[in-house]
Amino acid sequence: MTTQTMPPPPPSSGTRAAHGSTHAAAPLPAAKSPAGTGPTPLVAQLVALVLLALGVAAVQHLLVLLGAISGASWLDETARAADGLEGSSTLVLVAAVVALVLGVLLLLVALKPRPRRTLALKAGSGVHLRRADLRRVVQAAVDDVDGVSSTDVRVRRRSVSVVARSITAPDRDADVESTLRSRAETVCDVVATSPRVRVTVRREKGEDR
Amino acid sequence: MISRTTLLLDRLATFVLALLLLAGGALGVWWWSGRDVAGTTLPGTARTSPVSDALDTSWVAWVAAVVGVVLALVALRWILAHLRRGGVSRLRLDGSGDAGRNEVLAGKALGAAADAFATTEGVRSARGVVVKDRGQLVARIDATVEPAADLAHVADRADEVTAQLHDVLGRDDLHAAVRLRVAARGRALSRVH
Repeated sequence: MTTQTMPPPPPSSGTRAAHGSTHAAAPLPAAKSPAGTGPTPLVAQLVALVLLALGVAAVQHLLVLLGAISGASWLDETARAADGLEGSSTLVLVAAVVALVLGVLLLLVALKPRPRRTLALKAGSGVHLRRADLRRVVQAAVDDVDGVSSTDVRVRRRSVSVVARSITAPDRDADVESTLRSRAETVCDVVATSPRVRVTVRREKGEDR
Repeated sequence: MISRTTLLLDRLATFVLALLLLAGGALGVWWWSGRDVAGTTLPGTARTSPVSDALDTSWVAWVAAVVGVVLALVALRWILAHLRRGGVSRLRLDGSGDAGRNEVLAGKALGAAADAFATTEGVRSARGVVVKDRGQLVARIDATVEPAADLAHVADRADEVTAQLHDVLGRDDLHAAVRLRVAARGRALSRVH
């Protein structure tokens, strides 16, 4: 069996079929939406490190017992340190409470679904961006509107809010709001589940004339 | 990229650890309270001398060491599973059969697609890779775009580029994922859409 590894034809303008067809192909189907891993891999790796440490301690204990290395066995030391511990001591209560709190937190972590923090765009090929990235694009779109000194954009899964400080004449606030809304909506219309746009225009301090 | 199996193991391990901590915590509170539960009370003082005596026995130490080595190896394997990249280096193309294989270097093909995507107005840079993700073969393009980019145009171009990739590779089992990151500070665009 031979292997023919060929350099890829560049996907340049003008569709070129490598397998005989000359029609324009459809975009590749979208992959599953990006999902974060959540904190479980971190917890799992801490558990793995603890297991690794236990393994090292067990081997160290055997080597001490065989006289291959000097010093006290760590396992032995730990067992002896726990001997005579009073059940009614504060240490036991504190350790128990810490274990309960950690247990509840880890239970929530273990049962929480994988985080999905991205928004899909209207495209056939699975184009996604994070909410923070959409915020930057909306911010850029509304930043240079005439009569506005500053803008603050917040993006949630279902809504985008724009708060602007107006320095224009009060009777032009409606025009400013309309322009801001139009620009923000133009950006948000590209999102597959277009978020609702809310625009608030406030007077810049000292501009209440 | 962490595989689904590793993520499932992580979740199971976290769940088991949570249950162990809850059980240990409840036991600790019970011990501290000194109360009688279902006719049973815990001894007021811990006695670990039987454990120390057992550890001093040769065969227990050997068993502990062997179990410890196995645990350490499993732990190392588990940690390494999180460092796996999950990339696909070659893609088999149509025409492969008993007489020979037609393959394409996945990195090169996706590199070319990413380069084509990077020429889009508003796209600053892009790189491509083929990965296996949640049971799918995915052609993934990670791109950085300008804050002033026209997202509709960028999305259209993503469709065009993946359509060309589809046409060139002829793999119907390949899926696309285009992840956009928006640069914190924009650069001037040559034209506005």
